[in-house]
Amino acid sequence: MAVSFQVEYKPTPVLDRLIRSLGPDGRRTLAVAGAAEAARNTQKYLRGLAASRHATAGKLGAAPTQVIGRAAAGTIAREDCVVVPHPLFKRAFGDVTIAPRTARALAIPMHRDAYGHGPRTMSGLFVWKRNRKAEGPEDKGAAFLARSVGKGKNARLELMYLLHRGRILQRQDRTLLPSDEDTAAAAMKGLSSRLNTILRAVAAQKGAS
Amino acid sequence: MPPPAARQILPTAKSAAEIRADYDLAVRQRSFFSARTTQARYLRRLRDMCDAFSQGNVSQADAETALRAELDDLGYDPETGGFPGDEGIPPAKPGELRDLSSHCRLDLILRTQQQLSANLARKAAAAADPLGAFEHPAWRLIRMGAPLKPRDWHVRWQAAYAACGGEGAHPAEMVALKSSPIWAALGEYGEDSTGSDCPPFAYNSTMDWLDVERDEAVRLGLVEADEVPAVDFDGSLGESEIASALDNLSPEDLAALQQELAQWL
Repeated sequence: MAVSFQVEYKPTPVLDRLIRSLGPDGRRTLAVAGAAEAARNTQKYLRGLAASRHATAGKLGAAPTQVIGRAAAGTIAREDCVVVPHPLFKRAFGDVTIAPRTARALAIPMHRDAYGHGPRTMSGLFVWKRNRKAEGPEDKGAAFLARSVGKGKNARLELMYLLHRGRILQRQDRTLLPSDEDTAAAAMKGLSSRLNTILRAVAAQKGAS
Repeated sequence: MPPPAARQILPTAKSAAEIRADYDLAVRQRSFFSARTTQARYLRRLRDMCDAFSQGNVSQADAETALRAELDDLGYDPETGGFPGDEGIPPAKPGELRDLSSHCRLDLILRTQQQLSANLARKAAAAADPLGAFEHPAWRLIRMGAPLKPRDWHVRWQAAYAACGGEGAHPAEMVALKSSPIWAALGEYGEDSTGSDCPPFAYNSTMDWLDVERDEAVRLGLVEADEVPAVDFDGSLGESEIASALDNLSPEDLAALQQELAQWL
């Protein structure tokens, strides 16, 4: 699901008086110009983030999922809002709780082949439970989705997903999107550019007549 | 190219290569199809899910679940060659790209259509906003992710540049006017091309567009520095209101406003 946020900014004094003198169409035109520039700014920001943010993939030795890059590509302005097409970005605005919807547990990837893929997309998985105290009492009874690799004496178990019952709380991460100040500056740039263009057009029409 | 919701359903037993060879670009651009997908009812559901996903009204997981349910309902079985009654469709291994119900297939379709919808929306916004098109007259083709095996887009750009005679495009930097025919030429290059005149130009591509500001377009020689924006103030209420408000400013206020605006540009 997409995440959208309204573009907000604080106009400078004369600009503020000008905006207040406009009717709804004039205000809408400027708001749309501001949101369009804020969307461009968000695209560029996400593009930078996509190039650098691969901590989990790196830990697992997995290929990055390209989620942020794709979100950058799909980011658009809609009226006075910026729309980012992935629910991941909800976390920029507050804590997010992840809970299983239809399954009984969350499946957390532990293997590079599992990263970026849900368990339903993999065949040959089975539930495996750790019954001994391996690394600590908290591991006893831990359940995994595993697969068997190899045959006969060479067969080995690969743990693909940790099955986590209950919810996981992810704290807000404001760095997932540009800061409010950054977005406001982009919006002001969009408004200013539009006003300048109109001034130029009016001057050209007056010069021609 | 119309958005997915406006495209005609085209059931077909043909493979992707056969579709490219047998249907011309105009047909492909106005049709909604998927290789080896013969059921119109499933294609309509697929089209609707792509639209809902692109609008942000349904999650990818829910869209895939709904589409698999539809395939089940229609008796689809990849291992027996598709839908009941299908002929000439080779069996597919479950989970691979040729399996219509596989995650990799549905993921590719949904993501491709989502990116296409976003860029069609950008194109429509540019067409409806002449002043916006004046401020940002060009697009830059740029990578938005980090693929494992990146394609050589400079080679594709050169080929597309040659195919369209370089009209409105820069020969070296991947920048062209929004009206340049290079964009359509890019969408036709290579067997992995989508036939689209906006990103994604190829399947599984991480390339997309960024707006290019007028100053940069002037620097690249794509537009003239002394061009003036053409505005039909009679046809645009918003711009007309703004022009009128600017006209009513005192010379002192106008000078103060221009000083305020300058700090943001």
